[in-house]
Amino acid sequence: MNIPVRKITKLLVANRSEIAIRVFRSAHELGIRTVAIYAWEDRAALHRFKADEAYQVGQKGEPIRSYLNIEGIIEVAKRYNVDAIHPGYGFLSENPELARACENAGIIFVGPKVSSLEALGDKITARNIANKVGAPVLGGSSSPISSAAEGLKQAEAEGFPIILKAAKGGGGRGMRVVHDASQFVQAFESAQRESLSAFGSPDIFIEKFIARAKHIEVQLLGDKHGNLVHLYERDCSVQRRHQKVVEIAPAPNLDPTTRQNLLNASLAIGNEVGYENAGTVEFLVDADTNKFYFIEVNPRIQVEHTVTEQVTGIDLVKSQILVAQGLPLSNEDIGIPTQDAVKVNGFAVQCRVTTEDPANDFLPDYGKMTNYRSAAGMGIRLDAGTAFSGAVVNPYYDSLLVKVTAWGRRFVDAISRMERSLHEFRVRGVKTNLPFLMKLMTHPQFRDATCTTRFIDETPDLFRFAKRRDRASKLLTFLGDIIVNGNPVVSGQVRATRREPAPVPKVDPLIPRPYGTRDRLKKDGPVAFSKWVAAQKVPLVTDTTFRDAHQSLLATRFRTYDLLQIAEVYSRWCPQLFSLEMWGGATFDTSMRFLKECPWQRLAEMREKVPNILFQMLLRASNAVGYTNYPDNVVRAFVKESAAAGIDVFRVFDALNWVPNMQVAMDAVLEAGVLCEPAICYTGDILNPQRTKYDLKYYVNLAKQLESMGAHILAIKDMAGLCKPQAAKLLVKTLKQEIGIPIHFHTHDTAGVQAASILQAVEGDLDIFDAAMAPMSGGTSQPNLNTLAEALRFGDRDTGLDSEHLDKLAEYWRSVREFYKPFESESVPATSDLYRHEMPGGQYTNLFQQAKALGLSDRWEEVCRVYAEVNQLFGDIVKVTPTSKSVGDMALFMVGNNLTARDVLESERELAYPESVIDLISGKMGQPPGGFPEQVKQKILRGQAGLLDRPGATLPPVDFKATGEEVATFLRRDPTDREVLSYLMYPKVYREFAAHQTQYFDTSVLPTPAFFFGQEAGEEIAVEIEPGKTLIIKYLTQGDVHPDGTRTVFFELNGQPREVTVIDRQLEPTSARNAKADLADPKQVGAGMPGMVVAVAVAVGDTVKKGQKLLSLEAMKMESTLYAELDGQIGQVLVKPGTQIQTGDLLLTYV
Amino acid sequence: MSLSQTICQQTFIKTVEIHPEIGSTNDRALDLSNAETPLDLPLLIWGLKQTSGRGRGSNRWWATEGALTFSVVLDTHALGLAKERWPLVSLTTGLAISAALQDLIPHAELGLKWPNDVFLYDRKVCGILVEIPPRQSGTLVIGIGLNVNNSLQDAPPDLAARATALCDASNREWDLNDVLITLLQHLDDHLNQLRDDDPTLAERWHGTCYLRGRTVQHSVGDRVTTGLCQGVDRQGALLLQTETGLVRVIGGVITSWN
Repeated sequence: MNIPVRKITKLLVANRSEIAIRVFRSAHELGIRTVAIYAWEDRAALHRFKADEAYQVGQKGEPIRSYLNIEGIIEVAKRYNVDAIHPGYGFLSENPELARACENAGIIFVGPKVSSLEALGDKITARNIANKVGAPVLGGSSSPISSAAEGLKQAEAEGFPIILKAAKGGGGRGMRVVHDASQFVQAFESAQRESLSAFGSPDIFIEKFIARAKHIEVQLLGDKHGNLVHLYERDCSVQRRHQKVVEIAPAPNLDPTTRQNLLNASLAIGNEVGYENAGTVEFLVDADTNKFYFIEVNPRIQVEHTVTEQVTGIDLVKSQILVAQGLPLSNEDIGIPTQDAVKVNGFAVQCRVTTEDPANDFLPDYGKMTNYRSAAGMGIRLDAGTAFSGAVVNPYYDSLLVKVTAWGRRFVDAISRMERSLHEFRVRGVKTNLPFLMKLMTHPQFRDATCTTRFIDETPDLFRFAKRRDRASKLLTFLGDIIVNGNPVVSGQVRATRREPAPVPKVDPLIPRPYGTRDRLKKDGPVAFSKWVAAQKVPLVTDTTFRDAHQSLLATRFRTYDLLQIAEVYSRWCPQLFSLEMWGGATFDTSMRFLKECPWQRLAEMREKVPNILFQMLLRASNAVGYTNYPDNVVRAFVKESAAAGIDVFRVFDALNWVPNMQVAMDAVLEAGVLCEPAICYTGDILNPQRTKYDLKYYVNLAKQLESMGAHILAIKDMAGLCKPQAAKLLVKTLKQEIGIPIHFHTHDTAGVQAASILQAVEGDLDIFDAAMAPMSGGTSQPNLNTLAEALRFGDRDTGLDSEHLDKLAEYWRSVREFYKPFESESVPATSDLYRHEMPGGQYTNLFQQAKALGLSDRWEEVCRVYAEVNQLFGDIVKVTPTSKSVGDMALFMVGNNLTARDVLESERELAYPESVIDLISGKMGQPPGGFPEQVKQKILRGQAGLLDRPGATLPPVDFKATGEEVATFLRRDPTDREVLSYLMYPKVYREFAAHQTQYFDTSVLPTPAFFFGQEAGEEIAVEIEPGKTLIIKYLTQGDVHPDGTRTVFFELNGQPREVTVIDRQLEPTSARNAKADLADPKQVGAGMPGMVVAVAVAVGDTVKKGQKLLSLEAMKMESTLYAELDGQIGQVLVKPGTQIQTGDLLLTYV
Repeated sequence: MSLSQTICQQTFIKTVEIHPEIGSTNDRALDLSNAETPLDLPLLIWGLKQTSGRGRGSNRWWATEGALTFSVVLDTHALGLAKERWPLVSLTTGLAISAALQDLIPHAELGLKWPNDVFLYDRKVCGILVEIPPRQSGTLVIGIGLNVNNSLQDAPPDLAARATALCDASNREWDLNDVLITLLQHLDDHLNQLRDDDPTLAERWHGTCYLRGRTVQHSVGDRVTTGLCQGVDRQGALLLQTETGLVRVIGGVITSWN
């Protein structure tokens, strides 16, 4: 045979995406010029740019048809002097018409002969050929089924289960597995329908269905000289709905005899048709018997040819091109003189990475790929289509993004390498099947190479994914939103100018931490610890900077980020401290509501940094960390969980000093085995002989009660800073004589003299006092820790705290405070009036702001006076959250309405008292000593009986399981116990917080200036999202507004460009919302239901009569007509056909 | 007991008209709604043979004997259904029919093709047309055409590839009366769910959306939009992800899908 060699100089690939690029690569290596074709929709696709020349085929709107347009393709080929066409796979690859058209145009078709395509393309003909050469064929029809009845007969003869297949089919379409006779007719008809609509042919045939089948295929390569070799086999058993997902070469665990028989059968089939070029013979191998059955021949290059190339070292596409030129396999450029020349080395595995969402039934996803990072390294081969950052995945084509092929010496090496490379991928903006593939690579059955074709369908485990966190994208979205829209928490406030981080003193993390109070508590237990405290001559100190100081001065706005930076230093420098007061009070609410942080996380992270010093929290007894009474089981659970999370000292108080209300919380603390520090709230003035309600005796009695309830330490909680120096000394001294437990003094420096009270109390043998670091002290906060420590130095009360260290810590807090400028309040220095109104420090600034909002700031003095009046009206009560709020609300109510206490008691008017006032007087916050005055109860409760018992006693217990289920519905996972408790404390706030976390991830990791104000252009921040994982985020710029009201914000993330799109809320979208009709105005005609305007029957200026048709609407195929309701002239027509409208939208107006 | 009595007893229907042969049950329903005489609603008009049944616009519903074609006239005031929710009646009726078919043929593969067709094994089995009588405020006409015993196997091939009947999917003949009563019972339940604003309705019409995940061509006049269908939202709008973003579609026609 004399076969002429025709050199190819210019090769066109009649295909797109990765396979087109694959062919270009080999062509280039052969020195052949390459030509791409593309559909209009593919004008940005990568294959267009990888070719030397590229030409559009077809028109806009023909994304698929263009690649099937034989006439158009041949025309391009002829016009640009193309001398060969490679069809790739899919599209026209198996269509004899393209091969024939090439032949007619004198162009080389890189593929088999037309006759082979015709014979092998039809599955029935192919089966006949297999039969002829003695290759086993699965039992079944050798010709299409003529009718359902005849098919059923055949199926029964074959024995169920059987599979129905479309003769012209592929890709799983037109296939049905039928398990018994009753399903047959229906399945047959639907397969036939599908075949008819997908392939234009109703021909269906029957095959025996093997329950445990492996899909093994043999790669053939032939030349025009009659030489045909095999390149061994591939195992493609891992399939989903008959679509291959993973391919392996060679087939691991294949019985050698079976392998040889498969190879022989394949060569026999190829030889029978004189096969030339590359082709694949597919078989099913019964995993139980090793029997194999011929399925079909694919006369083209296949998606999975890569694995064969990797293990044989033979470039199949290059061989295809050379064979098509007429060269024999023995040509040295091909290099296969004999079958023996084909050797297998190691194993190769290919995964198809697609833009399909495995969590959503592999629904194709598409859109802009905001980021694409691929794998590399030894043994990894990538065949990618349009895969790069910024590429758009559109819906017209199959969703293959990149084929990853991993080679390894052993099968296990190849899959470990594959698993590693899949982990290297980062694809953002579109969903991918990567999580699924990773699951697959680690599945034991896959690693054992025992998968059959049903593996994916029968292994639901593969679809259980850990949620992708996508933390970087979420944080960027948050930052983008803050940059464009600002953080609502600081909106309208002064901007902090400090951006550089606060200076953190250096400590050596390798030196063991000094022994601290917590170490002692853990060693001795709470009772012995309390005795140890009592035995100390020197007063111990609690630092309140982490909680009460910023609650009093900055509305509790310190972020965890700033607390964590300095925590470690405390642990090393201040082991002498009694405790860090760092949780409870308002932190729980504020951290979730405004700072979008989890309070539990703050506690846990702080605990990690400070394992050696006691942590202290403020617990509002039965109100826990909320503002209302909770059922007893909630209070117990909260205490238990807080102790487990790291709280060592619970300062428990009741806002009315009502001991019964403290019992549940105290018992829970005792049960948790930590320090129980109940507080007596100090009010009145024990030095004033006229104030008899809260005298020394009252406090001593209270203290004794609390001691008898098991207290380890007693706190004096002087929330309003009323405890004068002499009173402090007297009180402490007296209590020390009357009870046997240590005393802990807490005061606020609103009056400016409370340092003296502390020093006097120390004289009275005080055990512990609260103070705040200098920059966070004074005013409504605690007295100054730095100067107090220094004041006590050199005496027998020297605290032992190192002043130099304390001052460095103070310097840190001074810098941090600068970040929180928006929360600084105007300081309202107290006058001696403080001792009359007795307002707590935290409330002082708050109430002033409230008064200001009500336009009463000029009457502030009056508000303070009335506050005192209300206190007397209510029977002189303890005022601290939440009772102080009731008194404050009442004071504002009375000043605003010009009421006096007398008016309240004597007026006949029914006044609508503030909710908090009714709550207080009705006993929902508990009982003050002596109860509330009867007259007040009658007026405010209007004859309703108030509670006299503990509110918690009658509240039904919470069902934690049911609450957990409720939380799970919006968290979309099972909540932790801590999350359930957060929800119970603040349901609405917690929901919003959870939504924030889902949308933006954990924003507490951002530096404070970036969190409140966003970054400045060019500013770079480092964000640690987990130990050893740091994002470097640089903000570049923001783009112009898009018509839909969004803006693109540009960043550099770890040096790579990234962008996010956020809605600019300051702008009205230009695709404006339709105006709404004013229902009260008869001249405005509004829409009664949503829909789309189909026709407008009137124009501006038309005169209309009542009942005349104005316009018609359509919604979901339902048409409705709008008629004029009055005579008149049309003024405006605001809609046109095609406008979509909502109920109430203004459609037109009358003049 | 007469058939009419049975229907009235077992369903929410108050009045029944049965026509051996009728042009279009919806036309008859509209005529009756526009007449002066007060009607005892809900009213059922059942045409045993419909000669010019109306589909969407000028589409004619191919019906031979054996199909179930009827219209229900509803008083939305009595039902308590605000006008702004009328557009949802079509999808709700579709769900009612799907539920009824699921009762009749367990495990049947059903889909709701927005906004007014029910698909059985990838072929249309039922069409729905909701109309508003021009002058009668508060009345709605729900027209339903369901292929029951009119096997489509003998229909013109292009139609046979697109449509099916209950008998084709189940290999048995059905008693039209039984099918009708089952349908009306489900319709009653579903309309009540719509009135009560049952949130699961929206989940169901999204969940059974036949077009979801398919590339769909939608047209309004000569404006054609192509996009990947993302399902149906709470307001009943079809969601199409297009190259320029998510588009909500309330009106117009779905011209093709893959």
